[in-house]
Amino acid sequence: MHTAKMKAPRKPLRIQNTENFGYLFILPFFLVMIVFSLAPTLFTLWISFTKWNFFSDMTWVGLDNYIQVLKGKMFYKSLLNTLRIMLLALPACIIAALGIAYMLEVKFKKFARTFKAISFLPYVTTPVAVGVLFGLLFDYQTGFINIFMQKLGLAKDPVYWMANPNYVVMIVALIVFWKNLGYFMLLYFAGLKSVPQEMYEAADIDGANTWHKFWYVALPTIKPITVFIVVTSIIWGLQIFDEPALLVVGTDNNLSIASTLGGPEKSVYTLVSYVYEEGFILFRTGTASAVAYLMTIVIVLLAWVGFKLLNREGSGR
Amino acid sequence: MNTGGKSHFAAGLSFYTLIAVLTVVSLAPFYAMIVMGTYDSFQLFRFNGLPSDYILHNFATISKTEFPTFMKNSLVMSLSSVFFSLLASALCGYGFAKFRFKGNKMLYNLVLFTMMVPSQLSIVAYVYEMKLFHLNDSLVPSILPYVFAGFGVFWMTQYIKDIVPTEVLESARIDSAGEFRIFFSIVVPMITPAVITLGLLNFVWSWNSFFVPLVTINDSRLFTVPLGINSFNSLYYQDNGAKILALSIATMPVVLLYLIFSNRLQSGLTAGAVKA
Repeated sequence: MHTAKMKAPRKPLRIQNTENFGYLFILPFFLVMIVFSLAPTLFTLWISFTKWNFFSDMTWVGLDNYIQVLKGKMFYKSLLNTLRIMLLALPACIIAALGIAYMLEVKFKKFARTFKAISFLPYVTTPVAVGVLFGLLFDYQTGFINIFMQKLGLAKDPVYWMANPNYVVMIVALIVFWKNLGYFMLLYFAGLKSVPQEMYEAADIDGANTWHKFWYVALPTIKPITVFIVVTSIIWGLQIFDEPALLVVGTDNNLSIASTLGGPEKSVYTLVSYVYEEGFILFRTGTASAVAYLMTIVIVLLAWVGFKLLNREGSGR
Repeated sequence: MNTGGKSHFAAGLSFYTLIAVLTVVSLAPFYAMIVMGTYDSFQLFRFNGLPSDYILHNFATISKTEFPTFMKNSLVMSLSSVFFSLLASALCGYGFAKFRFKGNKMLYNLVLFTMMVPSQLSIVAYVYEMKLFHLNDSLVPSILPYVFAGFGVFWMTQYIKDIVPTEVLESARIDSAGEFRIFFSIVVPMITPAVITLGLLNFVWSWNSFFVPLVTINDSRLFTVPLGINSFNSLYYQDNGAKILALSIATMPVVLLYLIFSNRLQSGLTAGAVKA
């Protein structure tokens, strides 16, 4: 106390100096970020206006790469492939996660902890293991799924899952669903904890059933979680690459990521597959950079649309 | 009343069934992986759910390959990612949380914004930059993205704001302790739980990372586990049994960490949604 009073006249100056120490603390992070993230992001924008293969001289071509990409088929195909995987997996996954989390939270609380831990395991598993594993499960000859189906009499002959473009899409969607169900549930659990118990009790007095309580009490309260899940799902869902790439390379012997990219009829050839192929297999860095920027624009636009749509719906109710 | 009880019972039963099915579906692939890793490749189609006695052969096959090197590379990469990302984000988070310098809010928002930008946006120039610095074909390009990841800064800033009282820092300053000494001897011990959680998350993310190693590492001696497993395809083309055992081993570190620290990992992964 006394010290503070004695030093009072000098205090403003000292504080001023201390506050500027903040720059020193944030410096290491910003140094790395500027050199290894911001600089290459801007340089990629530059590359997208050139013709270049990492080694040749750069030739300025203006908007040509963008025009070529937007005129070609591959950008739309990869975008639609990506969206198809997302639409097959994510809405169902979000609804299932919400339903199960709510039931566990309000009615079967004693199972919640154990089930939470089990269902989250797929989320932390190495994607390469997941890819190989699902590839083996759906293998033509030795796959458990085919053996199972034949034993139960569901199929007479084994199904060649990995050769059928539509089945491959469904398997990738299944992986995405399987992987994220536990994670989404975890987020909903965290959100449901914030619903005040008194609100449920008040609803009970009004004679509300489980469904009413879910629809009118829980759902509006955990809206921010839903918004978070939808927006982040759009952002990373459009960047999906590991799961499809590692599934189709999984059990195909003697093959590499490059040669199997996209699977049969390129049905799981995603936006990032396109960036990867143009940039690191064909070394058309200009095209790859243009695709990367177009992909980012799509991501920002769709994330924004998702955010706006969800928020409008909420204010309506 | 009676019918209500019955329908309640039916609803409960069907829900338990659903939970049971989902538990099996969540765990079955793991179980299948662990058991299939004990099979001779030629016996895989006779898979009956029980382990076989071939595991030692598969183990011998794996240890003769470069798989131990892949594990070592993955470990070096993941532990370095953890260390450097913790250092950078704890320092930066402390700077944002406890110093009111000019531009604090704007720079913090910039960091939050970078969390939404896809990492592939800069990948072409990033790979070229690594070539220029002669860092291609090393583990460095796979480590750096964790050092400049905005999530760590977000996580640390929030935690330090909540946990570290400014008065403690003030009194340390009155005792004329240096700013960096205050950070390392007062702040760091107070934020240990957040450091552990963020470290675990970074370990898991880094261990599972695939895309950046794929485009920056060509030398097979530097392959991490995900890249190495992929190369099993051409080297030991028939030996799926050994490959699956390798996968089981590769999945172990992350699963073990998860089983031990599941609460911490869960709280870390929900932080973005609940706190933001």
